[in-house]
Amino acid sequence: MSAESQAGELQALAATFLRGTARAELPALPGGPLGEALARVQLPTPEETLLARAALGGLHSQAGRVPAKVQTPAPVFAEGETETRRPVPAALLALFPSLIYQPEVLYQTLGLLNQANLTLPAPAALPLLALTDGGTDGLSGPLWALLDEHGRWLARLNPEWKRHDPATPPDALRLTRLRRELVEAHAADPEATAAELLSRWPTLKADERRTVLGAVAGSLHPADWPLLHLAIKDKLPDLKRRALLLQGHLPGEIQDAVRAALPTWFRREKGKLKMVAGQSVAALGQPEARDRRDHGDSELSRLLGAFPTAELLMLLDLDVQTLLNAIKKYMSQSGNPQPWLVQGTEQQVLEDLERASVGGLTLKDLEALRLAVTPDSLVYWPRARLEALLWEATAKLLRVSQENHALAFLVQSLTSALPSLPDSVQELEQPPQESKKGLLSRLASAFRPAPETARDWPRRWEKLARWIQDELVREVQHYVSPLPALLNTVALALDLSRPDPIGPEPQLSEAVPEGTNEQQQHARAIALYSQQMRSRASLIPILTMRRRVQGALAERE
Amino acid sequence: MLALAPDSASAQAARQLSSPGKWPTLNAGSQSDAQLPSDAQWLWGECQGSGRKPYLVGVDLRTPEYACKCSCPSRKFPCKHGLALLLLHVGGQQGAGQQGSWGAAAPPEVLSKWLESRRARQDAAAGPGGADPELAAPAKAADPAAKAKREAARHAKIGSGLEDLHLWMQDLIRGGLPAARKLPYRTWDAQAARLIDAQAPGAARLVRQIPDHLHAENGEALLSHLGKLALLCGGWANRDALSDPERWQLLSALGQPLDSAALLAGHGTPEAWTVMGSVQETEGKLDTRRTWLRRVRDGQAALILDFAPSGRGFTVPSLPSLQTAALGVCFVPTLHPVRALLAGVPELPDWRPEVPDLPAASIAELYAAHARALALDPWLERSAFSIGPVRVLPDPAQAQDAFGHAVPLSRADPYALLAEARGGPLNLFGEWNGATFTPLTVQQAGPALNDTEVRA
Repeated sequence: MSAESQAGELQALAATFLRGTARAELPALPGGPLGEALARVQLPTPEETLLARAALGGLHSQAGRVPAKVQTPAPVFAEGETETRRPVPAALLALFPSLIYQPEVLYQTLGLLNQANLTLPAPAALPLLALTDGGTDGLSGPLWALLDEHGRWLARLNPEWKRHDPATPPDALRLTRLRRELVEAHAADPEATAAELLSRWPTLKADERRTVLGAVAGSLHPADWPLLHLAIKDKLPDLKRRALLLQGHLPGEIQDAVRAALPTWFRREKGKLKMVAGQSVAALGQPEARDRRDHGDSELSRLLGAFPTAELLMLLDLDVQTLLNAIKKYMSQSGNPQPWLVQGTEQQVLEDLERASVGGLTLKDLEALRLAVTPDSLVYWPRARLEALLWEATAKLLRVSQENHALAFLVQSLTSALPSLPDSVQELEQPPQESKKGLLSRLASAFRPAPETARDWPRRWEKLARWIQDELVREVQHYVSPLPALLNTVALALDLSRPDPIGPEPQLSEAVPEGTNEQQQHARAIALYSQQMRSRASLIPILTMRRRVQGALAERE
Repeated sequence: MLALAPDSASAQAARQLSSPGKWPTLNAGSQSDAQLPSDAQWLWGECQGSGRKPYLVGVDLRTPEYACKCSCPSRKFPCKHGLALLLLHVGGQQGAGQQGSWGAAAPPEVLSKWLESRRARQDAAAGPGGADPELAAPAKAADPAAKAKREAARHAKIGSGLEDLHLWMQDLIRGGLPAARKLPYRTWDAQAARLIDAQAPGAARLVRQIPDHLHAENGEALLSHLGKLALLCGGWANRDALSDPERWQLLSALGQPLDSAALLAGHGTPEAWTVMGSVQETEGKLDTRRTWLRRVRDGQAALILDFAPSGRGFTVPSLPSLQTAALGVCFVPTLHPVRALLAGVPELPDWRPEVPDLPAASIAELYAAHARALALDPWLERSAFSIGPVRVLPDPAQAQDAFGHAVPLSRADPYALLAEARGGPLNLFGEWNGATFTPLTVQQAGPALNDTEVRA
């Protein structure tokens, strides 16, 4: 009997049920074995008959189902080249379920496994691949590198995971990678990179040309002039405008004209900064804005965009926040009800300014750094610049006197950022500048060893810890707020062997006169410091996990 | 008094029931014909529940530990009715609560016999025979007449409940699907509660599932479901004409309790069985654990069911998955024997961590075997099979055999299965409910098939 016929009989019974036997007659049943069997079911009332026939019809339908045929063949994995790398040892695999909840250690562990030339079997990689569903690019890179052939085949079957495949990256990811590579290459050798880009320019697609221009923008060099000249002739209007404005970032006539014009847009009235429509620069062209409400492209945005943001503050003798407030207020008065929703060049300028604000010293500046320092930051800055920024931030942390819980949060963010930067621990080669004295220099020089001296870290750490204790006794109030958090950061990023590098609590200094306000402050500072150090207990599981990872790897060797 | 309650829900329910209005009959009595409830040695009363007939509740106050007996189907002891009767009594004594109007009528026969048997056991325990009542009271020979009488009473209750159910379903059929869709949810709950009172929990479960089918467009699913319930009612009405295995099948579908002792008395020599996995589900206030075993000798599947009040945890520990041991498995003698009882569970050292390879069925065979099982057990909800060799399609998750047939997979991560397969085909052991397959155990199915072997 065909499936249609089976469905037909039950359907006919259900049609009666849809209306109810009070309004509908029992259906006439078609011929065939089932129809005849159903017709034989006759009970005193239509309701009883319908129920009994439904029992038979339902059962027949259920038992008469046939399996569906699927035309799409199931994916088949064909073993290719023999994997030369060894799989991750079982002792380490056993740690993975816990590692998922400790991203700081997870990032580091994946890096270490890659360095050790190991592979992660597909079953163990599945939970990690699931973590990349949220688009965690920072994780997917090292994870893909760890997958063996079977794991990569499996990951490519899932549309979400496939997006992270370095072999076939989607456009957005491909462009991000391109930009990251160019940022690094341009920072390292601007002449060679500019020459290569110049030759490749005609073959690049529109998105790639935009990416190239964005990548060189962060570290413009006189060698980029020919490239900018070429880009100005591009058929894409946004690209032309960007190239035009970038010319102002290099010394030359345009920059001089902008330098002269910009101050005319700012006026101080009764000590307050006010923005007014000032001089325009003919070389920057005519903005496309039809009126002042169009903020995608205006005279102001062209002026701001055509000047190095880092020099802007010096030129105007302003701090970042005052400048940002003035710009936003001006835009708001110009009819933009949501000044933070700016577009195009203005948005670019604001972002640049916010990133430049990292150079400040206030807590807000540090907050800006927290937002800026992510693995994605590598598309804006070369790694060396980013690492310098991190050191800069640690220095500021030591100088910030405010007690604020935000600091701890900030340091936590930096903690996450450090290990997620590829090989950041191994590549902290930038020497601290001479001007950075005191604790920062000691920290930086202590943890800037060449790889062959890495085993010396514990001794260096102990030396430093002793020094910190001596220092703390004298100047505890100075270090009270940032130091525990900073040490946690450094301990997480660098210390591979010592879970608790800090010794006994600092004691009240005898040098402080008794009964004075200074002594009370000193005592309060010590109490607060002790309290903060106790909060380090939350780091213990992380440190423990790192030691277990190290132990498992060492056993393998 | 509430300290006697097995849980906080019982205590709360008992408080709500300790109102005289809910008790048409309240009596207290003693052997010395005491007139005051405060001197009572036993209490009895009738409490109006959700069924037509009130529950008969008795409390024996003669021993330090109060004993309760109630005609309600609750598995908790003491039940809320027993607790409520005690609360009413205590409240009356202390003048703190609602006392109600207490009579001194003699307890009905059922309660009298219960009180007498308790008295006899107490006397025997206090006598020279010893302090252990188990030793003191010689095993009383089962009274066949009393047993038959109890059985008849229970059957009458079930019969009455199923008759009501059938009438209620006829009303639904008469009104049609749109009218049924407009009924409030409490309609289904109330009917299910009546079936619980009628000691037909299996039918109650099916009634609670009705809302799942209410909103399917063409009504076929709901009509089939009602047909299944009608079959229960018809089966019960004609139970005398059924064979023993058919009757077991019916009782099993109605959720009748098993006489474990009698069933296990007949179990034979222990054989090697493998625990293939288990599934846990919560339905209403009951947690159910289904553990599937497979006999090493021939691949026969057996289902062990465990129940626990929701969230309380199972009193019986789970069997170790993917381990094999010699087990005394005794099937419930239905026409399609699947459910089984275990005559003891071996100690852990006696389990071996092995899952023997056994032949697996193609997907067409899976459908055919399920159809054969349905012919024997029309209320069958799921059975366990080994299918293979199959490959896994990830989106949507399906298992495809060498003939191109596929079944949808449920509760399974297809990528985990693909990872496990390492490129080869798999044998999957799992539950099949006629629509989806839930894998419980995964085994590599020998050498890999290539594409040309998949005959679409």
